[in-house]
Amino acid sequence: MYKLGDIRINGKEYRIDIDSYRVKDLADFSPRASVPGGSIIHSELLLYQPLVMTDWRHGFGFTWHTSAMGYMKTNGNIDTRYPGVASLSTAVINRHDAGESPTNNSKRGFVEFNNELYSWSATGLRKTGFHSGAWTSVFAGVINFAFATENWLFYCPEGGRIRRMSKAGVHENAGINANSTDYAWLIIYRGFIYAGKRNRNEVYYAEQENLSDLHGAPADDPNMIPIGAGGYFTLGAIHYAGFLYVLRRDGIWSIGEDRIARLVLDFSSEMSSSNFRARTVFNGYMYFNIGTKIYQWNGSRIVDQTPPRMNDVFPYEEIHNCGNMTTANNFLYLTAVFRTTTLQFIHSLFCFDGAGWHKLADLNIGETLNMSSIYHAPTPRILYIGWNTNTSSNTQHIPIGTGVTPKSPFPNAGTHEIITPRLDMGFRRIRKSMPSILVEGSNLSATLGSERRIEISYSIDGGNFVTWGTMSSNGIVEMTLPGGLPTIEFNFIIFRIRLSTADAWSTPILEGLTIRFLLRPDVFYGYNFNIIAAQSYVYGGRQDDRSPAVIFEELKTARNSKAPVEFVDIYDTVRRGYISAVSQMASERHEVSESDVPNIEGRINVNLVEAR
Amino acid sequence: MPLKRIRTPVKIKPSGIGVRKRIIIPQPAYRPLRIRTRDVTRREEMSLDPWWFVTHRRGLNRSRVGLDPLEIRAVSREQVAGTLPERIVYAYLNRLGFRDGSDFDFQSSVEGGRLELGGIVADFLFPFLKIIINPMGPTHETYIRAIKNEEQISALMAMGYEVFMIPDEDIYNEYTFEELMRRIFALPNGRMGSSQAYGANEANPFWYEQMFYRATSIYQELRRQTGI
Repeated sequence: MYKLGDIRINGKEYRIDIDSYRVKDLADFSPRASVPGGSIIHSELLLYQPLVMTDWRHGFGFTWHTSAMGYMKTNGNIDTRYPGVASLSTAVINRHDAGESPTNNSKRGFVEFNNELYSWSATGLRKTGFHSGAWTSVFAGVINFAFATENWLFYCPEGGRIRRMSKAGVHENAGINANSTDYAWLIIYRGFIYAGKRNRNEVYYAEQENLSDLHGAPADDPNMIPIGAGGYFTLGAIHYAGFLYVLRRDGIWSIGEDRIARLVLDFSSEMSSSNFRARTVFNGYMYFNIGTKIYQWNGSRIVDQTPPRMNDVFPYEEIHNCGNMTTANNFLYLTAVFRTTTLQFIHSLFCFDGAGWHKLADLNIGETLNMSSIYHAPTPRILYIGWNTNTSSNTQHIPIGTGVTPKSPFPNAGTHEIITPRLDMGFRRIRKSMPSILVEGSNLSATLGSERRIEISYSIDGGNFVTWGTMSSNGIVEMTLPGGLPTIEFNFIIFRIRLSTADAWSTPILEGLTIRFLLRPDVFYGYNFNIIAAQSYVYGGRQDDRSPAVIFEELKTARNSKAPVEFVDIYDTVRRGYISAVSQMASERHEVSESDVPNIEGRINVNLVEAR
Repeated sequence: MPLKRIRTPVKIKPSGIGVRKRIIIPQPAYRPLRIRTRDVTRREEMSLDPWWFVTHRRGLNRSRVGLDPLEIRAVSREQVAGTLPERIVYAYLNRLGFRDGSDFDFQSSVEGGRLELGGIVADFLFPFLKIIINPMGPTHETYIRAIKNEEQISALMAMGYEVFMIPDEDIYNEYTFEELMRRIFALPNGRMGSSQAYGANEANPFWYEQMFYRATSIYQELRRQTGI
């Protein structure tokens, strides 16, 4: 086919000054990405850029790497609350009470009295040793609540009179008369002990330490405090910031110094019997649940502190059912059920440190929760958890100690892992190349019988996890050949760091993970050349009748095109691009013109950018 | 006193024939110095790109792209009118659940001091916790500023506030910043703190840092004044 030019733009051919033809790549070879965690410099000052993860205290819930200290989720028993380390968390020890009848009876609560642990449930008041031992019955029958003071343990049989037990183990009736029955909760506030009646909105208070003056009927006590109207019974009480708050399913009521209850927070549009099941005071704020939401209240404003979702695939893993709360060692502990992507229910222990949520342990897998209780016994410093489902129940304890690191024993079976966020280095559409990672660990061992290992797996662009390597010696290890390849390329990558130990008294410690990567954006080119604008130019045996003015107008039209124009380069490769600049330089005037327009020959410099 | 500039002779006495007399115009004592110069720099050949100036360069030219990692940690300028360190602190306080107008009151240092404190700058004022957090920029390193800071801290402590002056470098380093904020609000794994938040009379955990800055400023001022 005869051509009238070296190149073609927008369907028209042009001759160019060959010496002027330039092609240049316009994309950066590998720009440096701005990534979180840049304050700690792990760069080797070579080609690859490091992304560092060395602290996990912002907890789970980060789908993308937007925080230097956050991660996506954990599975199993992982503790990420401590600065600069991630380790296994303390193993959960089962303390199942075989005496509970039926078998799915849950412990409704725990209390420490006279250096023993007591629990109450539909079976009765039972006790056991702090660390081990069988449960024994103290009082048979449905117990709604138990409450300990220095000298007495009070317990509230359902439908029965409130009773007390002394340190000597002597049981007797409490309350002022036969109407002192069927209480649901007790609380000490400003020198009085307040008691709420079960399924009623009545609150009574007593001054005597042994509750001998506790009334139970409005006729007996004109000072009975009714908590609102509407027939909604009280769920419990809590004192915060110098005030006593009584909880109903429709809101929080404050009992003033005049002993009149006033509605402070109204949740009547979200009424549920599960409201306020979890409640505690932590670090100067009151926390409670409304449904599956956890709120933080300072007395004047509410902030949503619900644990974030825990994964990046629909259906998302988030809180399905709230259990209970307590505080210990400057942490807030919450038991709750979340539903996994495979629609499996997992009952877990969560921890909040004021800045982030951490999932410490999976307590039960497979069933949703009916009821859950949690209690911190200050003497042995143990967390006790009781729960039940439709078919089963269990009582568990977790020693938390007083130190700043997790306390043994650690789980030596099961899967315990940290899932990092999706690491895209800030550019989701740009491919990255990664040759290796650096893993920092300590307290690792390959000794048979006491192996402690860190196993690294990765998943690129949402694919399955591929095991990369295992670390079983202390220090910094560089893992190369991902998947057997010199490098792997991805848009985003997720790491799974699995900690395992064969020694229940020791845990592997993860101290840091550094990913070495290179941003590799796609390349696009720019072209620059001079088009010869001359009349009656002969090319390849043919003559072009276009005048220089016509040629220039054609190029101006192409320059003005809003859509990319077709460009065929000197090697007949077809591309699409934009003309980014056109400039004409006249070089010679011809007296003879074959048109009405003066025949002024010139060169037109064109810049063209590939459209990608 | 300099002589007035005289351009034109006041009086010219004609000389006699054949006698030539030099006319002397008194010059003022002080004359501006004028140097006739010509700019030989071919500015059209120059480029402001720093790469152009470097004559010995190693490695590839790799520009840094993406959002500034400090801006990622901060609330946007549209949301909060303040300097970058103030916005980073603001974002972290939000993360802890504190809310402007309820838990604390924010007034950027660029808006000047607080009227209720007599003009003292208190960027983040927690009225209930009795805490004040002030990010410290580079202007705080001068001697006069350090003395002023000390006076203001004393005044605020007398009012019952605990003042925390945080240098910008510590705010920019997310790990140091995390430790500092955990200390201030008694969160777990700060180096200090308990389950109660700081009271007004607790020991200032930044005393050593503040003394160091003050000593450094005094030392620099002495060197400047004595020339040693």
